[in-house]
Amino acid sequence: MNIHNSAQRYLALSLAVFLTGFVSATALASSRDLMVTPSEVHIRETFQGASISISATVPKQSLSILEIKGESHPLRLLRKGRRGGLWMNVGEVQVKAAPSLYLMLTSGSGDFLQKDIGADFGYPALKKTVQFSGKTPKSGTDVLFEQFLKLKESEGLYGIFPGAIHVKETGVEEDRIQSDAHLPTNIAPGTYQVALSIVKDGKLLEQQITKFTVKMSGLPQLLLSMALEHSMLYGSLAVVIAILSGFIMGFVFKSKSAH
Amino acid sequence: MSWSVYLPIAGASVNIFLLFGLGGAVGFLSGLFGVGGGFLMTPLLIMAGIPPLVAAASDSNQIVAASTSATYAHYRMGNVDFKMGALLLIGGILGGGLGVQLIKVLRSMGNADFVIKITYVVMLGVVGSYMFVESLQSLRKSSRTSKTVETSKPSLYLRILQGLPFQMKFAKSGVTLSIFLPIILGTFVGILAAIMGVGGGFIMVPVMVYLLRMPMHVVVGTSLFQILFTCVNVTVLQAIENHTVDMILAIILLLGSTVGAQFGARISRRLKGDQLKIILASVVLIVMVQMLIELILSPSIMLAYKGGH
Repeated sequence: MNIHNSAQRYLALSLAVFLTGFVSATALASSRDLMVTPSEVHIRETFQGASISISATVPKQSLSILEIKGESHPLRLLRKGRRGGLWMNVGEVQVKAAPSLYLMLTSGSGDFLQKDIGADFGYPALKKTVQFSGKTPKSGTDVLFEQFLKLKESEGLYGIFPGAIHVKETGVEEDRIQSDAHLPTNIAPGTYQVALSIVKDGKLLEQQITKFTVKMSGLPQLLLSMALEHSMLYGSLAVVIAILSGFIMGFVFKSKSAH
Repeated sequence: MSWSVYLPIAGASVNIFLLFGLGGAVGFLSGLFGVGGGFLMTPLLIMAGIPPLVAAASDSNQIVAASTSATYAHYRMGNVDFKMGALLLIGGILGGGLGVQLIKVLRSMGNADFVIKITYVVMLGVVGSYMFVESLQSLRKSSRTSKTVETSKPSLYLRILQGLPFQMKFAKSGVTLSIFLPIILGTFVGILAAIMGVGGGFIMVPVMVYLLRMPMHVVVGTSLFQILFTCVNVTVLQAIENHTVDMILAIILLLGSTVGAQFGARISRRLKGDQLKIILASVVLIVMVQMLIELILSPSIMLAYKGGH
């Protein structure tokens, strides 16, 4: 009986330990709550780009990778080439599955990109998804992809920033990470995804995803919606303002020259 | 305090004073020479970070204001030949329609961009060089106080002009011409303007001076009158078809350009016709050389967004 009771007690204890471990593990995962501040970015009259703050809790000795991605819309680009010794546009190239924004920030150096797991992040990962069609060069699309990155980087819409995540020790098993990402002025309104990947010992430990939105408000929103939804009225208004301004300035100068 | 303003259609933020300065400088040239200045303003806006299509369309919008301001200033000085301007405008509209069709054909053949670039460089080169040499010779002649300016002109062209039907007197310009001539020449300029994607002022001015034999000061005022209507048409069409007119961008530019145009028109009155021509020729040649350099030197990025010149 005693043996039976002690066996039961042992089983109950084991179950309790297992459940405690499971609950604490779940709590650990949820405590890594990835946060983006602000969750809504507004494009107003004096918008000059914006900064978003991203923070989360991660296990110690791990590498954090943040990827900020915009929605993918088909793009139409012109490829330049030489004709008769002169540089000019030689054909249209269509680009599909390329995010409108791609920023990658890491907590360590970018050395991991050289390893196997590096192929799943950054430009190597983009290269697998981005598709080119139309007047692509005969030599293949590798050069085209490089030039596409160059174009996007020149606009501040793509970028890789190793070491841009700051790590702060907060506990025995966990660290707190924080990073500020700059969104360029030409960012399009829409929903953006922030993905945090935690890598340890060359393996992906876990991934968390959150979102933030970029909205146009105030006068920019009013003008944009008018330009798109009431284009005839918008065009006519633009012309009327221009003609009136021209006449007013003419009258102002006429009266000035009369004195 | 930030002096940058967000342009919703362009999707860019630009310093207000930079735009005001650009508008003022190009408006000054507009009032001075009777050109819209699109061939200068559009590349400058692209350099300031405005997407090409938005730069071209918004520039058309601001040219409406600058040319209204400058036309009004020239009208007060008696420099606008409305009759001639209306006939050139009819031709310009016809030519614009033909040019757009021609571009469609060239695009389907796949060599439109080559034709556009070459036309641009050749036209700027020919117009600029001819005007420069001719006005330089004319200035030298006048400095020798020679009074035999008109006698050395070839008479064959004049005889052909006089032989054309439907002659009409253009009192303001002091010429009698067939009404077909301004319409045909307007059509020709309209085709070129549509191919090149510009208002065509810098082609129209030499055409009026050398082919219609109009006095330079009347050319400036009349050209501006014609440009005003062309740009009204382009602005409305661009707003409807492509949604590329950025009203905030245009308003800041036009605040500068309308003031600049007034000063340009005043300076224009103080300068001799040949002096005006030689300065315009120099500006045209500088733009041509800059375009040629762009065509010869390899670009840093081999891809560009579709749209623009």
